Amino acid sequence: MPLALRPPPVSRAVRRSVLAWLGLVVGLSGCVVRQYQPLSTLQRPVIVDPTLPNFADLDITVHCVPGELLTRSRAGVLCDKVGLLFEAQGANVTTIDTEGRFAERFGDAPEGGETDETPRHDLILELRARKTHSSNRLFSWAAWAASFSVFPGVWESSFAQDVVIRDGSGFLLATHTLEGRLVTRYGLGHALLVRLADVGRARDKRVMDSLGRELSEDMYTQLSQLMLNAKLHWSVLQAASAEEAP
Amino acid sequence: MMAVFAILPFLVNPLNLPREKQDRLECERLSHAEANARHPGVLPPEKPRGDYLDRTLLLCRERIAPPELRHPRDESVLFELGEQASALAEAATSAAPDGDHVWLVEANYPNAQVVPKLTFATKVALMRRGVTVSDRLVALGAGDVDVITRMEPMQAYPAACHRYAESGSLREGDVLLTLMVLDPRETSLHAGLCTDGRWTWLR
Amino acid sequence: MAALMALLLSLLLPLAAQAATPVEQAQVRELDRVRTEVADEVHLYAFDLLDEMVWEWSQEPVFESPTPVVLAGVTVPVGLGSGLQALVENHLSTVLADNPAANVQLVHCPQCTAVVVHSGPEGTVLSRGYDNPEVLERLGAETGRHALFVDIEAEGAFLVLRARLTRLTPDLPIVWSHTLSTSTSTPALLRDSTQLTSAADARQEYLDALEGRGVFSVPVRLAVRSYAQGWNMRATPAPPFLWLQTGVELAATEARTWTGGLIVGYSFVPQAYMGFMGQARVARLITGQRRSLTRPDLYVFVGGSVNSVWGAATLPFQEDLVNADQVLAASKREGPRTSFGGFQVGLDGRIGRRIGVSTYLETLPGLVYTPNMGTYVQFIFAFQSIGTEVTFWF
Repeated sequence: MPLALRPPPVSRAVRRSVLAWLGLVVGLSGCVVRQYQPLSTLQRPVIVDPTLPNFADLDITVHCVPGELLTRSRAGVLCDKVGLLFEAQGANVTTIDTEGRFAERFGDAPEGGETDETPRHDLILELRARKTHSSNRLFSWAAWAASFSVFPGVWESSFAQDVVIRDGSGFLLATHTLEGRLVTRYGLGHALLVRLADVGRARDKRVMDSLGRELSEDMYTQLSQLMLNAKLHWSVLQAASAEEAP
Repeated sequence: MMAVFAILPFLVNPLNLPREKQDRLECERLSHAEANARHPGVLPPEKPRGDYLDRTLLLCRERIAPPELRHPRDESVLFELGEQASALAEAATSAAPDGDHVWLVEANYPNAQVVPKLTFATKVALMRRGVTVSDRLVALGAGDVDVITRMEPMQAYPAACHRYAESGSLREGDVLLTLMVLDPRETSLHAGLCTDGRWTWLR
Repeated sequence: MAALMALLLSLLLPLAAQAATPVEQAQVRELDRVRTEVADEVHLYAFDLLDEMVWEWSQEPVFESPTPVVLAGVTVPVGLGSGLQALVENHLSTVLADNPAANVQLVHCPQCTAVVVHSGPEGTVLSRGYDNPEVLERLGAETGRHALFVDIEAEGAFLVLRARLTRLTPDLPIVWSHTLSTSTSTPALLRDSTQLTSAADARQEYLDALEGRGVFSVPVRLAVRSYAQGWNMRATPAPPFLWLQTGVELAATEARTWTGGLIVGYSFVPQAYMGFMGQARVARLITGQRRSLTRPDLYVFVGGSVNSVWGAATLPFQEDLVNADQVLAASKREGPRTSFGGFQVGLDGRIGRRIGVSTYLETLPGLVYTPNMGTYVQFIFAFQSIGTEVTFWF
């Protein structure tokens, strides 16, 4: 009965309306403007140049703790990126994976890149992320619908990245919270205005698609500066304890 | 006309400003409780049975000194001068030996304009903790300066402390709190205490 | 020798100036501009802090009786230059002179602030006078005086004043110190130096000044309304109407966040038209919680009006198509009388509580179908008219 295997007939009107909606969504997908605003802790002046070997021969362990905003997979990605950041500055980096095992990124790692033995670490960096605020501005979405996408619909959230740096013995060297705000605007009018405003701006100054670039830059330079300050703090404490030793 | 109303919020939205202008604003997000404590009346009071909305306050203020006006290290140190001075005063008074002391403060910092700011804020913070503070300065002879400035910082400060005591510049019962920057790339301050010729690193 | 040094310096300085590239020179110029701009904005906040410090002294004096004090050092935020320092010093001197109850008498002591070189058995010491009281004594300066040090620093969005008083004896003990701060989100209080009050009282004075004019005010307004050209090209458009309006405005609260007004208007252009109108309007402040004395305020308003106009030029306010010949013919007689209603939505900017400029869109529901009039904006309603007003408030 080949006819019985045919899918039920779909009316042309339904098909057209589904296609129209899909077309609308795809057409407006370029109308999403995601912007990032650093809050005060992510705006602190930074002197350290992350392209220089600031942590030569220093053993750093990076632990991205999964939690509210950091899923296990995201924690792994974050740890990889931060590990890469410090490796580029000359450090021997070990990351702690989501199962709590050490994964040596650099040096004589055993086959498979994982070891259950505790490696030597001079400094331990712990990263946690949490959401501090989120809001869907309902009025903006009403205006978006009433104005046929001339006014943008707005969704906003704020996050906090808690940074804790300890020395190998667990002594607390530094704690800091990096905070930022993310605003997503969805609408034809706003996207057009942003693209117009970007005309003539250099690629790295454009507002459109600036989120990833600016957030990464701020986050990684701040982490580098915090780590450098902690490293010097640790050096001073080491000198102090060496003097006190008989 | 609708375009005018659409452009208006675009123009006044700080997120659409160039990054340099955004960096002149210093913003922080306050929870409902913090907002009510620091800026009463701005947010409506919390309903006793909870609220459907997540109400927080995004507080933005314009920084007095634009980011390009001062060296990043100076800006970083001055940005939290009060907090740093209080923390140092607390650490120093906790680490000092028991007894009545006269506290002196000195700072070694690359920018001479910032040095009096650091000592001033630290002296005021020490005064607030109820200790006796003096404006007296400690000095080394030219020969000492010649030798000590050739040493590594980690050795130079203990050596200078020893010489302050031996030369009588630092009297018995005086406690000298020294603030310094050890590396040109760092944005935080280190500190040490000199008492009776004995040097102690604080941070 | 000194002459030789001066000559050498005069030769070297121009060379140093030339060494800077045009880009660097431009950066230095830009930095100077920013520095001046920021110092201009900051000095009022610095004055506020000095006023507060002297007011606190007058309430709880550090000294029991009037005491001579040397102003030993005033430092201003790093990067803001010496111009601000001079302003701060002058203001502090003025406020202290105007407030003898503070028990602080500023005295002149050139030896205290000068750099002194003292050679003795312990060596040669180079210091400022106030750092070396023993040398001061030898120079004839009175010992036991007090030195006042004031430091003002920009810490993020906060301007922080720190002050200390040091007794000029060999031990140089600090006898008093204090910290005050203000932020850029609070307007400067601009206290009168001869009648200092606390920051809280000054803030209340500021609010009273904002609210002190009562809840009623009388606007006198000159308005121009223009009407859109009709879709039919043969139709004659309505001419722009000039209105002279006055009435009364009532604020719901003393902060003037919500206001409502009733206004009557008269319009007259010889040989063209004459008219009366009445309007009710409700406005909401959108730039803050209360009216400001120092910056412009912006209101959004909605209103309704009734207009009664007559004269030849008012023919287009009819539902029938009107051409130029009919208007000319009507000008020889009294012309028709038309009454119509309208609703407005617009923005009202007010400067200094005396002058206002507003603009609005108006929809005339009774004239939606007339071919003589088109629409400027079609957004939920058809807005056929745009108005602009200048208002003086009494």
